[in-house]
Amino acid sequence: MFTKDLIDNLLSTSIEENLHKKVEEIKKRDKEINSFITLGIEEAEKASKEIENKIKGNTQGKLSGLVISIKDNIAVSNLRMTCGSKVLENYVAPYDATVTNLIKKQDGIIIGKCNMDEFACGSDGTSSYFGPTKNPRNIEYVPGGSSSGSAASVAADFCDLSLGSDTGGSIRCPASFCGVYGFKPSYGLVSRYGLSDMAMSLEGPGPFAKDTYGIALLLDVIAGKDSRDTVTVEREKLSYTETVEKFNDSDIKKMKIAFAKEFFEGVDEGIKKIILDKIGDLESLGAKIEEVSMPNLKYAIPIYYLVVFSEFSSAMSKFDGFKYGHYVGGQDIVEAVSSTREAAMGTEVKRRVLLGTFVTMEEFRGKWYTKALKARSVIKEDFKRIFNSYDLLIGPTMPTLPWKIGERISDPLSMYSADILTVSANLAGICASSQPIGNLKQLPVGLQLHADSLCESKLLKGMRAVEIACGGM
Amino acid sequence: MQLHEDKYKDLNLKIGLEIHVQLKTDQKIFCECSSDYINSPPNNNICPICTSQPGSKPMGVNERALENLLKIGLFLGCKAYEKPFYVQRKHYFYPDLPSNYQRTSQPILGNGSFMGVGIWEIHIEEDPGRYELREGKVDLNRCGVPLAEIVTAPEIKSPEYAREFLRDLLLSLEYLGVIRGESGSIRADVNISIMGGNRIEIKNVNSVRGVYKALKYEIVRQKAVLQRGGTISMETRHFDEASMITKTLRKKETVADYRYIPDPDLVPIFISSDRLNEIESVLPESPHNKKKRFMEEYSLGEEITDALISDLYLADLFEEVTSKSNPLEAGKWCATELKRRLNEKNLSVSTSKINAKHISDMIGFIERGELSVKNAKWIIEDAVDTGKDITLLMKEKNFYQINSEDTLIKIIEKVIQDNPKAVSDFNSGNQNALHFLFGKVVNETEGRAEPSKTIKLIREKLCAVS
Amino acid sequence: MIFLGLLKTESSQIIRETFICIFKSTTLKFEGVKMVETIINENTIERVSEIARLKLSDKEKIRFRDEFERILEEFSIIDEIKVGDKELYYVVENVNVLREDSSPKPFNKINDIKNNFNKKEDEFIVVPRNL
Repeated sequence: MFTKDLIDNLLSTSIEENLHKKVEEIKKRDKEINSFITLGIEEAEKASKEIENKIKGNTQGKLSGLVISIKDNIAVSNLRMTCGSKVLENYVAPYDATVTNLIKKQDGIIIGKCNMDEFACGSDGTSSYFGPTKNPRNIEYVPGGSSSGSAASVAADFCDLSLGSDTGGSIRCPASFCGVYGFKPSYGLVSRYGLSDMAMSLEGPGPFAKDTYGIALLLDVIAGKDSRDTVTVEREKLSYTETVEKFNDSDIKKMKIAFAKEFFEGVDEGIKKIILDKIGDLESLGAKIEEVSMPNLKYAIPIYYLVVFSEFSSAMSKFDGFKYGHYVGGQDIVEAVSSTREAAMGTEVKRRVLLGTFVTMEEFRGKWYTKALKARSVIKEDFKRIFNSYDLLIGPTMPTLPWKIGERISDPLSMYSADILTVSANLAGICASSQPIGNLKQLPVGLQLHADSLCESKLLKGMRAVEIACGGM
Repeated sequence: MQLHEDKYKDLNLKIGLEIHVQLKTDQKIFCECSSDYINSPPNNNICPICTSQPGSKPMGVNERALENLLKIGLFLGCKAYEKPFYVQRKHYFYPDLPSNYQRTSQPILGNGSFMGVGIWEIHIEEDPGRYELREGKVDLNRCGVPLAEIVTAPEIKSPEYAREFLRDLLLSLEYLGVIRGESGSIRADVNISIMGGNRIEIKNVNSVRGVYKALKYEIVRQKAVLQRGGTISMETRHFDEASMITKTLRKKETVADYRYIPDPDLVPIFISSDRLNEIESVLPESPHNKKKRFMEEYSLGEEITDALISDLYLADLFEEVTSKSNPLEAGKWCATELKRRLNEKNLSVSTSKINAKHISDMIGFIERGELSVKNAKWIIEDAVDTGKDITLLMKEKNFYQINSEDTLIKIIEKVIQDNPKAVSDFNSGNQNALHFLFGKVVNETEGRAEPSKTIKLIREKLCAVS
Repeated sequence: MIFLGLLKTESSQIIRETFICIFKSTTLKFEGVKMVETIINENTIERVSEIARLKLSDKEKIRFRDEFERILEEFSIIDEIKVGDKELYYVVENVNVLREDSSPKPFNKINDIKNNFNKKEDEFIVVPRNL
């Protein structure tokens, strides 16, 4: 187990050295990759010294000085929190997100804030005000989004773990494209306090790592009920890392795994083959594999985006320039606010604000907003039916390989359609993951697993099984 | 009230109020900041939540705020709905609203009444901050203080009634102990239509007096428009406290599509009937029930009863008095003279120095013939102002009525001696002479002659003389 | 093995076209004839941008109007779905998360919040006047 070995290693060598190595890599290559917006090296160095002392007294937290990067829509006090946007270019967070607090308490070293699609509105990592992030596997290609910098920083060895956020695939997509592990926790498992809102009923923070153990480790730290977020719920009373450690090959025989044909429609042939091969490997190892159907998958994109538009336009209303953020000013309060927002927001952000305003207006909401919310339950029910009989749903994370930067025409519909395999998990509030299982044309391919809400232990076991099937670790 | 309503009889006034009161709590509704913001320097009673910093989320609704709101609703005879309610986002851009949406719940209770006016519904919401329009300055200290909004039916029939209604409502809420101190800290949106015409909304009136003035002004204004042959179209107006008139708001600001959505950050709330019963059991008696009981138990008339229960502290005082005095007498004095004096001096029972002993002592003196009804009114005024013991006041003001026959006879004899003409008038059959002589005795005794005894004695003396 | 059947899918077009095919085949749209009415007109964009407080350029208005029409047309596929009466607002099932009132806990970094105010004067936030 890579991350576990890493920790053991750290305990016997040096936290400062590990940090230093990362900083060197960043200085060498991040100019090109552009995975960070703000670095906090001084604070990180200070923290590393403190943790070094703790290790001597064996009082260190679970993260033991591992280097962690955090997506720039999650608050870390005294560091800029830009959300990848001109709107918050100079905004310094005055408080820590709950997840930030938890990471600090467990002695994770926060090295910096990661680049992202502006306000999480994107699936390829090219819409940041601070320039696109490049895929460390091949810098001509997109890293995926919206947690582009988080995934890239792990893939490029700029950090050991990363924290991103997933609204409709924003962790899984870049994990798949960059060839790292990404995990979307069940809605309500991880506190959203301190995560800039984009679509409040869909999103939440989640971990990136190089292996299942790393995911479980960060998840153990950040999961749990929080009085600062009323939607949070009690987590399973077990240790995620222990779950992963105790899992062995013979446990694969107990697994019942489903795959849905709709999840393979329109997927690149090469990707399909790699995924199906892996499923075959799991079957050889004793897992029970069966085909199921998700008949309502074709509605997932419209339902998802209508909910996103509505919630996003509400979330964005706070940006008027008075209390924080970019400010243009004007003759009166209407002029000042309208000019400020126009000047600072990028195109996709504006698009979603306008559409969200439209679909929630009196005369239009019945047809769009209300209808989408009623339809949302059919996706939830599709999954419920599947998880009644199966532990996991398996399939590809993305329908295509990463594309070249600039290649995807900025046609919103084609951008939205890239999310077809990831949005359902958010609509239903269940947990899902992506892990690298091979390459195609020298670009990584990600395999996605889904498990029922609050069944993180099942999902982690599934990830471990796939890891074993890949001959890994 | 009757008199006032007659004045407006032909206008078919329909007045409804949306009243906002601050609920009494230690913390704000969605965060842990203090809800006591008044003494804080600008922008110093704030946190990431109430200033809507990116990423901040509301904490669970303040339990005490909700409890206080439920108390208000139950007290006003409202019922809860049998299903969970959401806190919604009401979207509009304004500098005093950091999120540019206000968190306001769906109705929590409804279908009650107060002073004969229906209460449609009550819900909870967060207070915005303060935006000084003329100076372009914003202070966010007040953001997030919990508010109850009480929406009445348009059944108020005059500006005067609106004023009474609000005063008495505020008193009741203070009596319940559920709202923030500073009396007069209410805000109201006022709705008025005359003669079946369109409804005019006047937003954000900040005082009871303001509501009264705004309504008076609107009636005059609307009548004038109609007289000129114009029509009243539905609009929203603003009340200018300085000039006491209403002004039209710019159209831009009145286009209101609030695009309500249930707030995804706040899970639904369900009030069980057990919880409601629990709260109701510790509530003081509601005005409705008190009225019924007073009329039955004490055989009080409706008008007296209404006057008593309009101020619950007064009603309590009245009941205390009945432990020593006759309820009808107690009711009469409390509902008329005492209430009038309090209103004149802009006091309530709780803010004046009057107590139940004052009234029962006073009634005692009257019943023993030691205090005249006329002088009793002065006694009440003094007691309200100074709180002094009645016996002390009787001495100070020399109000003891002369009862003793001997004393009276001496004075009567003197008066008869001094007024021979009146005596002969009486003997000629002129009954008025009797009153004239009585008047003289009253003067001699500085009003202290006990009337009925005096008249009886004078008559006896006169008849004896003749 | 069961899942091998999936390898035999017809289309090998590039993904973008595939997805548009999926949408097209389910919205009964014929070449050149729009079955779905124009939903957005010029006035609508004007109103929406006013409510949303976005001062759009003329170019943006035209562009957005075009895009919105296409997007909403694609999304009107949801009309097909048979739904019940209930809207799914919350994915979690908790209710009644209330907070006990207790003595206030003032925030300890108020100055950091104020440092982000754009225009300040005497501790107030300065904004345009509204006369």
